[in-house]
Amino acid sequence: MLVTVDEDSATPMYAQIVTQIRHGVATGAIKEGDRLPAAKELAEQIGVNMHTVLRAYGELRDAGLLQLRRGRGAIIRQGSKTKASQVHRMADRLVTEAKRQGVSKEELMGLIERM
Amino acid sequence: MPGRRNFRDVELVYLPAIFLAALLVPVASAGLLLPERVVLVMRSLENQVAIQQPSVDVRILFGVLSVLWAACWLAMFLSDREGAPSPWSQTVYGLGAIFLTVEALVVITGAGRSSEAPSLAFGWFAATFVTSFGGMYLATRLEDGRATTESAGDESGLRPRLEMSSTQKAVWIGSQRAWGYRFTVIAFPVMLAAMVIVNATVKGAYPVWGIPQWLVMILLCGYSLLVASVEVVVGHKDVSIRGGPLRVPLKKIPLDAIEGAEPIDVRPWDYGGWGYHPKRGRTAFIMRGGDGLLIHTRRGRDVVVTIEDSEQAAALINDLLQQGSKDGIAISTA
Repeated sequence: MLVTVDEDSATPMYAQIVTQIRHGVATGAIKEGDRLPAAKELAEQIGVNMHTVLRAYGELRDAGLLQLRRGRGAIIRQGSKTKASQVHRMADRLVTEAKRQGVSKEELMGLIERM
Repeated sequence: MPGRRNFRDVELVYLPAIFLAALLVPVASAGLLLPERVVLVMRSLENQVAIQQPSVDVRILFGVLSVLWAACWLAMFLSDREGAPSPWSQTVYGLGAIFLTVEALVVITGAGRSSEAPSLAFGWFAATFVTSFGGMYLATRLEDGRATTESAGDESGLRPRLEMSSTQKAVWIGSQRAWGYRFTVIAFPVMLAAMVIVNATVKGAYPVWGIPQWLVMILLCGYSLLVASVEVVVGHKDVSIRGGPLRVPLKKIPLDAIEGAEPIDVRPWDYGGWGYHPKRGRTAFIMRGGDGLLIHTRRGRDVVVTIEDSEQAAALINDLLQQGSKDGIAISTA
């Protein structure tokens, strides 16, 4: 699974990592039981601060997607796919409904950004 | 990487087979009898424990099963040219590993007996071994002239790219489990632990087992765990490959040592089967057939690892190399 972060993006880097790992779990690119590299290793490989990755991992743990164990890295929890894909399913429904009601992509994006 | 293959290119598929070969060479050279010196060494290793030979019936049974396995192996190869890990081929492969392990253990065990005794078992095992290698030889002859690896990427021959902007940073993470991962990870250590406990608590539980037998079991267990899964991380510093549930570092290739990468279609038999195959000019980590990543190093060595979505991994490597050259990062040409 590819994880990219853009330094110029308005979205914080930790949030970019969270979104992509969540997406990877939802789409099956990362499977339940898979192990992610330790925060230090991932930070070194991607070229960001370790605390950025730790914060991302923390968010994913709090969301019930990741299990963090000292010395064992981060493991994708069982049942994560269902949790992660719930948001995807809801997003699909939202997009379908927006199209049905004639809401443009820009309007929809504007609505989400106001949240 | 097209080219003709010959018998020298065929690697030993199984670790147990290596043990078996090492033992059968002196056996064959001494008219199917072990040299006295080997017998004495084996005996001393076993602390002069009284040796009990397995019955002839058992040996014949294993011999017949092994020959049957060799036939199945060849049939599987001929019917499964693409190397796809079908349940049938995997079963035959697994059975072969079990038979060869048992044979290796029996041969080592038999090595402690008197060298004057007839060696019926060694004859059977030698025949099996020759049959297996005969099959491998025939199989590779049939493969002659076929490409050993096929690019699964761009047909134009260009290496894939991601075209990232200069403000983007990326890492690619991938893992691949071998067939029977859970079985290997759970069964092998449990079996070994159980044997150790039984051996320590029940007197005479393994009367013919000495250090060599335990060594074979421990090595086999460790190797099986190591090749049960593989994890690949492509980052801006290096490409790291780790193996097994404990993520043991197997290879770390600094980016400045990489010349390029491409996705390939891997056929396990082209690399000597499933497992870890270090070889001059090419190192392969084969978990299954299909999608794989081929990394060309600047020293002329290739590294192959079977991993899903290898095109993206290859694209990131090529992008990072391009970024590195733009940023003026020193690229070693050694």
